[in-house]
Amino acid sequence: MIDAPPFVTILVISDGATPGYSALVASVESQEEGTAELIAVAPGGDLAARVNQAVDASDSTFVAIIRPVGVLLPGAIAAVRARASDRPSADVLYGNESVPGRGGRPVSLLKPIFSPERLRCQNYLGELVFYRRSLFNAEGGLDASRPGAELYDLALRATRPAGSVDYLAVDLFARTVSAEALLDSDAIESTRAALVAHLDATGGGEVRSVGADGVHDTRRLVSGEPMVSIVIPTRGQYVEVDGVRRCFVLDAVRSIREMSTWHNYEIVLVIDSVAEQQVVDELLEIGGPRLRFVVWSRPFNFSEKVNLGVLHSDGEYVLLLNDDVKVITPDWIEAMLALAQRPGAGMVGGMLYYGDETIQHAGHQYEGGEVSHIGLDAPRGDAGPQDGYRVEREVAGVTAACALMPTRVFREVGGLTNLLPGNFNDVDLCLKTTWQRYEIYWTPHAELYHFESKTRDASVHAFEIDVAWRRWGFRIKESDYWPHAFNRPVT
Amino acid sequence: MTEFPTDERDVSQEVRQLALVDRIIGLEAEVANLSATYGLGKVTRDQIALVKSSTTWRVGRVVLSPLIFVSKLVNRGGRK
Repeated sequence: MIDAPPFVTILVISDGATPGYSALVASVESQEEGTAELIAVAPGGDLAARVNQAVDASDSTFVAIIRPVGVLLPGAIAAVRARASDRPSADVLYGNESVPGRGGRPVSLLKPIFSPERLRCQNYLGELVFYRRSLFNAEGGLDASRPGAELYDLALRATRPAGSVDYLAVDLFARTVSAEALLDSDAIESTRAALVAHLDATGGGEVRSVGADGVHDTRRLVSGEPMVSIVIPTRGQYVEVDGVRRCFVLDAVRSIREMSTWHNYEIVLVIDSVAEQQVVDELLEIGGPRLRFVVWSRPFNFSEKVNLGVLHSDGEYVLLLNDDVKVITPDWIEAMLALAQRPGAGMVGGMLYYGDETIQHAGHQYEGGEVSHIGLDAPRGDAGPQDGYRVEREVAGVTAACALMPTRVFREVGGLTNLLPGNFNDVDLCLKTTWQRYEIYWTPHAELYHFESKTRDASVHAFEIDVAWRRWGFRIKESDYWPHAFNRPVT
Repeated sequence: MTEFPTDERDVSQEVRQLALVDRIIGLEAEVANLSATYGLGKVTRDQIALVKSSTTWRVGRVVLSPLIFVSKLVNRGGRK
C-alpha cells in the first residue's frame, strides 16, 4: 500500500536548538495523522536555497515556512485542508493568530480578508501562511537576494498570480513570542527591494519609507493630470461657534486653495439661495476662477445637493467634501487620486480628525447590524489595531464628508440616493459601489480636520433606517476588512 | 437678495436618470436582502401559513369539507 502524500510540508527555520522549536514540533505532531511533514532548516547562509531544495523534494500539496515563534493550534491543518478542498482555486491560505494578552491570556489577532493594497504596507498575513506547492515552485520559491525579508517577499510575489487568496476566520496559530522583532538593516534593504519590485509589477508606485516595525509607507502614483471636481454643499452663512462668528465654508475653501499641491481642480459649491452676500463675495475672492456656484432653493436634501453639484461638474473625478473641513496634508488630493486610479477602484476616503485632535473617521465598518467609523475618538497618532490607522487599506466604506470617486462610477451607481436626505446616504453609496464590484480604499495620507460637532444632533428618522436596512440589512454584518470592535455609530 | 454667478446648465434629465439608476440598484438590493434574510424555502412556508390562517381559506375549507370527506372515502375504497 502506498502512503498518500501529506497535505502540507512545514519548514521550520531553526537549527533545532532554538527556544520554541520543541513546542512547535509537538504542535505539528498533534495535528491529524499523516497531514503534515515537518522539516527543520537552519537559519542563515543559503537559507533560501535550502528551503527551495526541501520543497522540491517534498510531494505535499501545500508548503508553509515558519519561525519558531509559536505553535499550531489543534485542528489548524484540518481546517485549512477542508477549506482547500471546498475551494480548489485557493492557492494561498491564512487565518487568525492568537497572541499573549494581559496576564498571558491569549487574545485573537483578527485579520482582514485578502487586501492587496494593505499587503504592500505591512505583512498582515502573519506567521502561518499556506502556499500551494505548485505556486511556490512556479514563483521560484524563496529569493536568495532578499535576506531577512524572504517570507514577506514570497507573500508579495505569490499573492499576485494566485488563483485565490483565502482567509479563514479561525485561530490557526498561537504566538508565544509577544513582540515582533524589529527589522535589522539587511532586512530593511531587502524589504525595500521586495516592495519596489512588487510596486513595479502591480501598476507602479514608490517606497517612501520602510519601517523597522514592519509598517511601510508605500504609495501609488497619480497617472496623468485628471481634473478633480470638489463638490461642496453649503448654506453659505456665518454661524456662532463658542461665541465666535465663523463661516466654515470660507475656511474650507481657503485651506483647499492655500494647501493643495494638486492644481487641476475646480470647486463646485452647491449653495443655498439664502446664503449671505458677504459669504458669496468672500468665496469669489478666495476661490477665484476655480469656483462655480450652483444655487439650491429647495428644502434640505444633502443627497440631492451633492448630486446636483456632481452633475454640474466637469472633472473626471469628483471629490465629495463637507463644508466644515480644513485640509492638513498638502498632497491630500494626490493621495486619494492615486488609489482612485487603481483598476476597479470605486471610492477613496481619508483620515478625518475632530478639532480636539481625536480621530473622527478612518473608514467605515458595517458589522452586527450597525454602521460605525473606524478609529472614532482615538487620539490622533494612535496606531490602531494591527497598525490599521497607519496603512492604506481596503475598507467596506468611507464617509461622504471626504470621498473621491471616478465620476463615471458615481453616475453608474446612481449617485447619493435622494431617499436618504440626511443620514446613511454615504453608507448606501458605499454599499452600492461595492455591490457593483468596485473596491473602496482608505488612506491615512489624506488628512483633514472635520469640525462636525461630537455632540451634533444625531436624530435618525425611522424611514431612514427602513430605507437603508431594507436595502442592505444583509450586508451590514460584514466585518471582512475591519474585524475589530467599534464604538460610536454613524448617522 | 443674494447675487450669484451661477452655472445655468439644465441637468434635470440627468437628475432623473441618476434617481432611476439608484432605484434599480436599490430594488436589486432589496430582493437580495429578502432572499438572504428569509430564503426561498422559508418564504414559501411563511406564505402557506399566512394563507391557511386567512378567512378565505377557512371558509373555503368549510364549503369544500363534504367533498373532501367523500373524496377520502372513495380513495380509501379504491385502495382495497
